[in-house]
Amino acid sequence: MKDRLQDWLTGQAQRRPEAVAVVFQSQPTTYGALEQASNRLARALQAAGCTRGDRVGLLLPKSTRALVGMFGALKADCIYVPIDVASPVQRIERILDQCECRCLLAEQSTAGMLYELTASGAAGSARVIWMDGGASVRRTLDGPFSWPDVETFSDSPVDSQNRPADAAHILFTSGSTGTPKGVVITQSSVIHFVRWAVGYFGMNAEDRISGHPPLHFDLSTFDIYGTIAAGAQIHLAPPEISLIPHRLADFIRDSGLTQWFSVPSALLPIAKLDVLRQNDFPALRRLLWCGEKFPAPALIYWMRRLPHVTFVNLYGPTETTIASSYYRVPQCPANEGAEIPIGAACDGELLLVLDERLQPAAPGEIGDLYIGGVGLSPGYWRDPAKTAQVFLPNPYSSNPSDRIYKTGDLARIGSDGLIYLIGRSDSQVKSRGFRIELGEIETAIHAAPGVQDAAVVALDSTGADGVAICCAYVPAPGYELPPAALKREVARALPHYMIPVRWMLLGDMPHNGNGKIDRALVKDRFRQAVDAQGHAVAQETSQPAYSDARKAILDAR
Amino acid sequence: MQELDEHLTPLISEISGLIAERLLVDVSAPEDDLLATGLLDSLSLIQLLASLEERFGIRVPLDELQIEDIRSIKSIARLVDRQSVHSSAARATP
Repeated sequence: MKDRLQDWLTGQAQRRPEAVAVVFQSQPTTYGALEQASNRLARALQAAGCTRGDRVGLLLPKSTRALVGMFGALKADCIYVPIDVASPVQRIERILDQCECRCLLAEQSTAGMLYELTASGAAGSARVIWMDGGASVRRTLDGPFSWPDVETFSDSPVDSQNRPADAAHILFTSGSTGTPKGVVITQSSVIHFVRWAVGYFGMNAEDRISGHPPLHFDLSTFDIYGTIAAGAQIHLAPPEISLIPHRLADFIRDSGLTQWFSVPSALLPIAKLDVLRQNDFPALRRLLWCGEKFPAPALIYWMRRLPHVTFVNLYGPTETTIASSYYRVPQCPANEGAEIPIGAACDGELLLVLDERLQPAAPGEIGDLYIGGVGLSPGYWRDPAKTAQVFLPNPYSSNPSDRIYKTGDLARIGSDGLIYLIGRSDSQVKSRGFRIELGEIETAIHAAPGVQDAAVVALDSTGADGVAICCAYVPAPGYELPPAALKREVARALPHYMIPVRWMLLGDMPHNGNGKIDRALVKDRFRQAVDAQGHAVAQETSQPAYSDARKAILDAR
Repeated sequence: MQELDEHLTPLISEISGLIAERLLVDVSAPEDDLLATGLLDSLSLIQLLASLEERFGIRVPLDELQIEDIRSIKSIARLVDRQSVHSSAARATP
């Protein structure tokens, strides 16, 4: 019996074809229907020329169609590449340039983007399969198939040749030099984590699981494959639902979710605005988060409101697949300064806190966090140099092919034996759970016309973003470049979560003795500006239009 | 429907200006989907609501706000229009 990700779907479809697998925009899709649609798509991909190891780009939002696309690609022995459809076309071009996709899956909502990608040549020779049904799709692009064509292929099981050791997908994350880097994830890495999680959390066919993070986000891998492994239902949250905390709460309540999984920042506005009733979400059993720290005040709020729910912190970078460690919060933290550990290694994972000589850091001492074990990625797509920088031979293994990944996180082992995160050893930051290299932002700003010099720094923030990304810049001689104009320009190159929230036009960039930009000083200037503005906001608070809770959110930014 | 919405035209241009100025986002048409682009997040939404309340002297209760109310500039204009009627009705009541 083969045991690959697509075999999980086939198995569920054979056992319970009528059971609901996905609910999207109130539309349920059964395991049988998902299996049949993905079988047809796999054959269409093969007919379009896809062979083992070819890349299939998903120009699709997280939707039932996207799930069909993922499984169809796996069944056709391909590697799928989820594309952030909320990203500007310029950034998507830099991703597609690297992948050389054989096929692109698109729908009407992403048609405009596809036309631009085709016009610029970034889509290369990729053939397009429209995942839309019916005549609503304009077939002006030379796609071999639209959905009605795909439906003419057989829906019987596909005999795919790929193995668990093969790559399943490539996830692109922010790159410090300005180009996103592709993390290759194998089937077996996903299989190991999901198996552990299904067992540890007791996930089963009764579960109704949230599908909240976007498709290009590592977290999506767990909610989708966890659902399929357990034979449960996944309820895909429309991305815009998070804009209004009350509507997000309605979604959790009305869908009868038993498991919620997201970055904490999605849950902070609900706490700040006190949206929950006592014992809200009676069906909910587990609330899991990953990607960043859950601020203790918000966690205390959630745990007090939902005493019937288990709260678990998962931790792990994309390079080690979904999560490598876990910590079940045993009780509501006693105070707002409580530190939540990232916990202990999941089954098959290895977490090491090492000093600069790769010796174990003494208990309590801060060291670099390295991860090895079953979730480790083979490396970055077509970038052996970058791979060699951070995927190192494991000095504690007799197996020479054993590797550990340098996460860039600083950590210490507490007296309880659990691992605590301290911060970063580089300039990577997390904003709303998104991993961001400040270097990528700086590169984009430098590329904007009229910029002579720029520095991007991140200030800690108590708001939902976690950090406030700030940009100080010096216009080139002869250029007038107000912040609004530069921001508009930068928005054409970067996704929204990377766009600085604070801007400062400088006559001169401060430099230190080595001739490098004095980032500490730039940070200080932003801090002073924030403090000054804080006073101004405080004086405005008598205005009745601002409720206190809203003001708290605005202040935090 | 077209005629019914005509009185919203000045409101639409004022709101477009407000969005461009406060959120630094250019929106080409009043029907454009503000949410599909991901440019609006919950923080910028709250900032936008505060600006609307300040500019138009209305109150927009977040707990009653629906996603469709903020989908486009046109739908925001309808929202402001509705809330203005509410506010003036409230003021008229002794």
